Amino acid sequence: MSDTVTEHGEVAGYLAAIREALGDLPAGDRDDLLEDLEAHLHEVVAESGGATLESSLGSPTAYAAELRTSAGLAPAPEGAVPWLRRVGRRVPVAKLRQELGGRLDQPVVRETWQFVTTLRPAWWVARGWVSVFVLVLVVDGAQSGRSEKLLLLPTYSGTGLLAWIVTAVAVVVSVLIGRRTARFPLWARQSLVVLNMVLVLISLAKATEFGRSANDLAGQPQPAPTIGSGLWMNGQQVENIYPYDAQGHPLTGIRLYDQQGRPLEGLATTSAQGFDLVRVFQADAGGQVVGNDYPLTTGMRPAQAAAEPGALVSAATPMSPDATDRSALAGTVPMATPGVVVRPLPTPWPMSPSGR
Amino acid sequence: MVSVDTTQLLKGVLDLAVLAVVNERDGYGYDVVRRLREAGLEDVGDASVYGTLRRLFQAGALTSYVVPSDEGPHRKYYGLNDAGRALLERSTKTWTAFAETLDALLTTEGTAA
Repeated sequence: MSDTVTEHGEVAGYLAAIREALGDLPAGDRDDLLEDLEAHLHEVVAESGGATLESSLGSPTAYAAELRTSAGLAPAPEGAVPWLRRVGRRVPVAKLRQELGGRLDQPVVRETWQFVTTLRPAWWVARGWVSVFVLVLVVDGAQSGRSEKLLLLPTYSGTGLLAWIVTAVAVVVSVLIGRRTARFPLWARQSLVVLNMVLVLISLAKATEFGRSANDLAGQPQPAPTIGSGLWMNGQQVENIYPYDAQGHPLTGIRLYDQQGRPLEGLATTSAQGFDLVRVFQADAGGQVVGNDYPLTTGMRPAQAAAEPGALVSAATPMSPDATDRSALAGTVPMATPGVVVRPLPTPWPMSPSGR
Repeated sequence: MVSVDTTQLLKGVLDLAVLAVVNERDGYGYDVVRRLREAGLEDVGDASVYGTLRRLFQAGALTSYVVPSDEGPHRKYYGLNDAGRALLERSTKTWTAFAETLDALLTTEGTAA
């Protein structure tokens, strides 16, 4: 069984190499020449009793050359690609090809090349996917500068289903093109090569961009990036912050900001003991909720009592190292106090996870 | 000096050999290769025979038809048409004359030596 598989691989590889060597011929002539070849190769393999096609028929290039001469067709041009021939006036391409080609025309190289060519279908699929991806990145990134997102599936303006469909269509088209490339005229094949190279280059550029931003992220202290956003210390979300002055006096009404001037918010909404923490926020003169006024005024209630939003329970455990804070807390708890906003729980914190 | 090499000789007469084999009985590519080898032309190359068949067909000397095969793809059979038979006749004459000339030449050389 595996013999059949390797036989098929060998025949396919040999056939592909011949097809390539005849690549400059008009499609009709080439298909004519190749028409019987596969059946023929299978027969040769079956008869040869384990010998390789190479040893029974010679190299595919030699076979193709013989086929050409006996069929009365023109021998392979020196540089099959016109612009390569132009370059050849300055660089001795033909000579290089002869020398290099002669040296590379060895079973190991051919086998490797044949194996690489068996990966073509995978490349066709990848090309379809990558082309949509790159297109979205370029268009989307140019629009909003959001080039840092790394997604398995391209989403354009959040249209998930459309992205699936577009990607599927692109993959199918890419595979169809791949299967027909050999029959394309020379100019089309050359344009395809150029397009492929552009695609790969853009992908590589984008990939290094991703790599850089991933490194930047890794450089920042992120205690528990998988758990969520907010303020964390040693793997636990911070429940409150208690500022003191140098003399050890507790400070209140301290507003904390990070290095970018963003209010330091996002404290735990549940205590380590499993109680919901009810935050009592002050509103500033403009009516805006001030979420970074430390220490935060906090009420606490058992999680099971969450159905009654107003039912605050005095802290069973000290909310602050200072007992006076607890009485201060008790004083601010009522919700009706003007200028005080009680944020009900559970509350989505302003900084929603960006990783999704 | 390189001695006369069958491969070189074959190049000139492969058309004739192929025509003769196909005239005997229609055949597909590999079948023609085999019959040429069995007849003694062991050095004949597969690709040469396939290419020759194709060229003769293009030139209008052969007919071709496809026969389904039990194992795998269809086989393309070739047969002689009138033009092919005429070509075979002319080529045979040319060859016979050529061979006789050369034989005579070699025989004279041989008796002289």
